Amino acid sequence: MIRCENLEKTYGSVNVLSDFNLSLPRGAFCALVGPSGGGKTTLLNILGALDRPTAGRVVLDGTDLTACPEKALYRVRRDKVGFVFQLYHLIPALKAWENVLVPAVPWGSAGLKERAGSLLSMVGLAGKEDRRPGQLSGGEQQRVAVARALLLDPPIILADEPTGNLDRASGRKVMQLLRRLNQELGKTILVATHDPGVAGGCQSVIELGQ
Amino acid sequence: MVRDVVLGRRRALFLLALKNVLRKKAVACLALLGVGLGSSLIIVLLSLSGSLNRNLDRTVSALAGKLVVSPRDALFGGIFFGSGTPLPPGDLATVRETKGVRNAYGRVSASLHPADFPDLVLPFTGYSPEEIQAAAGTPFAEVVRGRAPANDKEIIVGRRLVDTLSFLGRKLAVGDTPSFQLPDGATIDLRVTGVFQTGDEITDTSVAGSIGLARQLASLPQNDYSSLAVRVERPDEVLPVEQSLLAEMAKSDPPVQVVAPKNLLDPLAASTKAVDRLLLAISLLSALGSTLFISIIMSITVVERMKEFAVLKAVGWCGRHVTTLVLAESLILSLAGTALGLALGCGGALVLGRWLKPGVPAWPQLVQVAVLAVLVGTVGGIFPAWRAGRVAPALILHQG
Repeated sequence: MIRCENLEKTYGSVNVLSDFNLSLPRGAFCALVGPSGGGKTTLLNILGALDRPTAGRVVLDGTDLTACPEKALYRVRRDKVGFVFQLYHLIPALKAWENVLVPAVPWGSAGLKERAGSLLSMVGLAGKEDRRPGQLSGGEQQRVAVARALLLDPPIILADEPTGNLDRASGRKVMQLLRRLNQELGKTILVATHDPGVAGGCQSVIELGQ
Repeated sequence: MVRDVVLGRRRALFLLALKNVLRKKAVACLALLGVGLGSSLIIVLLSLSGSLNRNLDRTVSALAGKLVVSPRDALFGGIFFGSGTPLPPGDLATVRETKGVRNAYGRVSASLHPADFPDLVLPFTGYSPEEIQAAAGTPFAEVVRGRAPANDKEIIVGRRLVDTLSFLGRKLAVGDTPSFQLPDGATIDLRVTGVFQTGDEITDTSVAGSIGLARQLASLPQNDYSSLAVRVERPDEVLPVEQSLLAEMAKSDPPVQVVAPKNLLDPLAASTKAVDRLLLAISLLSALGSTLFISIIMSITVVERMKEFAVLKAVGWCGRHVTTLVLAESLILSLAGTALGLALGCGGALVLGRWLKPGVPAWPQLVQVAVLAVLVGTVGGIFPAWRAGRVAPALILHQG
């Protein structure tokens, strides 16, 4: 499902990833751990087609990202990957269900409103569809962000410190949700985290920056 | 709004753009004002330019086929404040006998000095009873309010003069009996019996009355005239008749000049064209200013929303989608700004019209201004939209 071969990423003279190899099967639930600056976010950005490696090869669900032209990378982001960020990054003016629909706006979201509603129910936000981000707690906003990541039904979820901005209870709920997505929907999930508790709840752990 | 996002991609994008516009009300108001004030200024300028041209055309048309014979020392060819050495009655007979002349009438020009404001000079023309009886187009035949004077104590005032005095804060209305100073220092009370409008802007900026009153005001001897108004048989005969009159009156005493009032307006027409060009330049500068203004406003919002655009790209949007979203926002702002500009511009033209009668520009001109304003907003949004579309999500999101 996810394969990295001899991956390298440098920013100027700083080598963030060096000769990194990874192979994750479909349905994996994996934690990425390591110190700050260890390359966790960089790796997620490369896997999510937000950034390019300096060298090496990345194959995502059969698509070779390194061979993919720049202008076609958005299709990978749209079809293969759902992103969950530490700071949620919801649009404040939009209601919860509207935020969930955002990924589909450029293609027309006909018929997806019901899906947005059912995704919000699935993440435990039934009845809060019409609330704006400012009217939701951090944990609830993060669950809206998870629902947004699921809208276009990507096979892979990349979560960058998804509990980093939440209290322990909210963080636990979010992780339970990701585990459910992995177990019930078969999503391949890669979670970057500092939290050993979060890493411990994953099937496997990859350490970066050693 | 976005509840119905669901009906097609263009509509979904447009509704999201609308929602975004409404998010930042202060920014939206600034952009609206930028486009709105720019387009309203253009409308007001167009209105003024149209008014200048309309008035000039009307005046030129009203003066077609007319000549004025006046002493060579008369100001402005004798058609305005035209006093000079008086013309003897023999000159009128000579003019009437000249080939091509349909009729000719003696007139007397004078200046009216309001007793309470002697520095203000109002041009006064006295018309002979025969001209009042026979000729259409004189102020006496074009009274639009009140009635024509019936004696030497009554006057009528041109509509343009009434407007101009009103603009200067002085009222001269039908029924008023203002006092005027005579050359010997005495005063005379004259009753305003009506307001006239001939269409000739020069005449409409004057006061009219009987020739007897004019002689009294100008201290002119009985039977002498300030100028002779000549009408030719056909408008295209003005030039030959002018030549004939000059030949016939070559030895007149005092020496005379023959003036086609229409020709006197040529420099005015040239000035009007220059003013037109100036107004056009100001309009273009205004459009350019509005473009820069909306571009700056949109650029500021794009910089503020970099993270949002990065997220949109992270969730699957391509650069073109982000560009389209920002352009749509710019378009919405410029459409709203155009509506505001049309309202302000037409309102401004109407308010100005109370004094200067410019009137609201015609529909085709308003449509042109609207198209220009929408274009201005869209062009102003191009650079910020392009910038938004080029956001590098990894870099922006990494910066937190």
